[in-house]
Amino acid sequence: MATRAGTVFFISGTPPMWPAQSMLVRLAVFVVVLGGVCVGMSRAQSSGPVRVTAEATPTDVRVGETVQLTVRVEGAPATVVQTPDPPSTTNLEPQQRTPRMKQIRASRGGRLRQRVVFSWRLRPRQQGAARIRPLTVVVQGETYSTDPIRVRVSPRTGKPDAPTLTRPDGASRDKSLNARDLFIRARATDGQVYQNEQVIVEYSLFYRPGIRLRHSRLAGSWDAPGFWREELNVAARPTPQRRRAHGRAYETVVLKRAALFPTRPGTLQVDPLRIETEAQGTMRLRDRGPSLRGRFEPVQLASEGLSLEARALPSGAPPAFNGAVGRFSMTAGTDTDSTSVGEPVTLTVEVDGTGNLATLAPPSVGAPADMEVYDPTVETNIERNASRIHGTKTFTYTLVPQSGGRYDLPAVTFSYFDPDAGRYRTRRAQPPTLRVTGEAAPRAVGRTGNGLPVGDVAAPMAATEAQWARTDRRPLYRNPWAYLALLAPALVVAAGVAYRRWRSGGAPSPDETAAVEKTPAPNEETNRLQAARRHLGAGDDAAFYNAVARALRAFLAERLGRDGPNDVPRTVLDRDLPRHDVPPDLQGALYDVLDRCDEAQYAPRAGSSAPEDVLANAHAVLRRLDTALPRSAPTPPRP
Amino acid sequence: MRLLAAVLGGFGLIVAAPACGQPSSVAQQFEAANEAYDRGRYDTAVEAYRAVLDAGHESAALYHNLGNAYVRLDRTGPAVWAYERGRRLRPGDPRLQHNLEYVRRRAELPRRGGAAGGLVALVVGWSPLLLFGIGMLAMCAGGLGAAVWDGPRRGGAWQGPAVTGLIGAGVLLVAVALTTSYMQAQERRAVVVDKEAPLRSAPTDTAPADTTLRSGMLVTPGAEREAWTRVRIRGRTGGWIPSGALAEI
Repeated sequence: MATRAGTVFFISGTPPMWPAQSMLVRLAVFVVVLGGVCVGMSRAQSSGPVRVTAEATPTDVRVGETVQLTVRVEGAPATVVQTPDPPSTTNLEPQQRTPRMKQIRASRGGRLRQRVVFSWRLRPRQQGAARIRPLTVVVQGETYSTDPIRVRVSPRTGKPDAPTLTRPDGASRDKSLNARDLFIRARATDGQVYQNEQVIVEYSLFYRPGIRLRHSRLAGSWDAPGFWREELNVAARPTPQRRRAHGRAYETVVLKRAALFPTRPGTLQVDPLRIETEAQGTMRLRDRGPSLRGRFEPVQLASEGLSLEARALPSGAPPAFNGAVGRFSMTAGTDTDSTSVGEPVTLTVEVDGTGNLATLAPPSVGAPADMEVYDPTVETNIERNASRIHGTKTFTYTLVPQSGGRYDLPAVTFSYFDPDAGRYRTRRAQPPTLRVTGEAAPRAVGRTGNGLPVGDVAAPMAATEAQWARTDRRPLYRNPWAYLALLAPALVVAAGVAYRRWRSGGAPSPDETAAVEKTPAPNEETNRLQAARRHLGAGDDAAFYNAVARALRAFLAERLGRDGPNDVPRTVLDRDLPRHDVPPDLQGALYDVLDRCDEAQYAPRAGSSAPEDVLANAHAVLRRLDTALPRSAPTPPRP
Repeated sequence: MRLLAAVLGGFGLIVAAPACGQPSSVAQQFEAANEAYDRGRYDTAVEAYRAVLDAGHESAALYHNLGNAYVRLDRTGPAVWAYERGRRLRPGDPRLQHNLEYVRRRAELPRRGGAAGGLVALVVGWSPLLLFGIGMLAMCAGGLGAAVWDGPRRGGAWQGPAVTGLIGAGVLLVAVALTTSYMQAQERRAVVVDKEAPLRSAPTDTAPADTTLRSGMLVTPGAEREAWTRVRIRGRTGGWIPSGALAEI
């Protein structure tokens, strides 16, 4: 081919192509080829039927072992297969919520084969038949079901299995942790017990010092088939205790403690306790080398299962025995020892002790023929903080006597089996004698003595009987009005005094002056007249009158600024008292008292007034003078 | 004497005033509820009685009739609650006592339970307002007597001790009334109104239930934690039940 600039020559008969046309052709060819490849791959993927199968291995398993359930979806990629729900099972317990999933691709005979595998681990609950129901898988919107699978569960082997440490699928195998570094130990207080005897099982976590744990939680469920079980409290945030096991030191915490009561004789199995946690161990690369801390890795720990032998109770149980095993005491009493016909009496029987209180049957209570006994109400108070289950069960019976008289209630009897002594024991409690007054309750009478219906509620009350009150009222002690009301007596007294004054026109009446003797006087008056009162009590009238006069004159001398009691003659009083605005009637009353005292000093029994009246009048005069002649800053006499 | 009568009358008016000022609509609502009860529409009656309560008014008659309606609806717990509430207002009413006994016997409930103990039991049924009123009257009468008393010359020898005795008795009664009011306010009782309420050892649904409380049983409520209340039965058995299963008396 020869070319010249700007000219294209054809060697063959093919028409010449411009560069742009060549690119378009190449692109089209590429698209066609790529489409063909994609269609081919798609056909290869969807070619062949989708097949879903399930398989369990092994199908003959012992209690404590695990069964692997595998579901295979063939002929579909993982992108079009929905993750199935956990299998529905009988007597098998899934050990994980989500299945382990694996995708397998293989080319065989030029064809691409794809397979998706889901697997679960299941643990048998108890001996017997187990079943895995059909499992549903959705592939590209279509539903496929597997066949049911039967599994036979054999009893656990005689030797106890050991605690296990397993890692979830896909977890790394950190060599810094093994089952001897971290395990759960299960212990029972006794391996051989009587039926319904209490046995305590305790699960403790053992871990080597230096191992760190986080995000720990119980995994799966724990069961003890054939036992009645009661949980005992363990510390929510326990302090690790140092203990030795297998010749090594461990930190231990109690995970769970439960009281078990065998409900039937025979060999009974207790499930292992399982927890999931994240543990971080330490390891040494060489002897005496530095210890390195590993990573936190998820681990599953399971204790060994327990096998307990329950013996049947011996024969010869007393008639009152109703299955109680343990140690118990009993009391019985009534709320009253006397009542009337038809009035209910409460008989309380209290059983206290160690054993299975929850299943304790009510003791039978015999009663005379003419006394109704209702079924008891039952209260159980169990102490769960101790090392064993113990507590109190209270049976409250309602007795209704139907006729009067004296009732000797029969003793309440309660029997139990004492496993320590290996024999039955019987407790008896004697209720008090009941005295019932009244006659036999009338039968078929429509109304009681109060007019209330027998066997029905009283008729509704009418609106006229309602005395309404507010629901939000405060109690009296929180009501401020109650405390304000306490002022009422003081107001009443004040009103009474005012009334008296108003009635006497403002002046002290003879009644008032007489009352003064009994009325508490101001301290100053009482003090001034104290000597006079003493002389009056002693019957010395002359000294009495002298003391009254001296008290009055001493008061006047003090208030008028005089030198002493002898310095207030009548002339001074006539001059000064009006200057201090002492009312004339008060001045007259003062003179009257002084005159009486002067007279009586010389002729004590000659006066017309009794000494008590003179004393009362002196009180009244002093009280009024105290107001008229102030003590401090005395009013200067008018010029 | 006229003064004394006026003072005592005024005090009586003060004491009785709260009981007098009731709106007539309450009585009308109560009548309507009674009418529904008489016609056998017990649900409607309960709603109507409850409406009166919700409006802030109560009476022993209201609680009595509400309890009756609950009995007809076979709701033992609320019936016991209503009768017990009524007994707080009118402790000696024989109809409330009769109905309460009837309900308890029919439901085979214990005759007593959750009852107050100690000093509180001593003042159960006492009316602090009545004691307070009597005490105030005695103090007022004694004080008035002391104010208007004419002394030993005009009066008899009995007047002094009588006045002192009246005032002393009044002070004592007022003190007893306030103490009674305080003690009664401290007493807390409640009724199980749900059909059954498991008594759990901890305030959670998963805690073991040692005892199941029946509807209508009396308990003593204690501490509350979220939606749970700690209760005691007869001061012995204790545990937690949902707060919604209780109605305080």
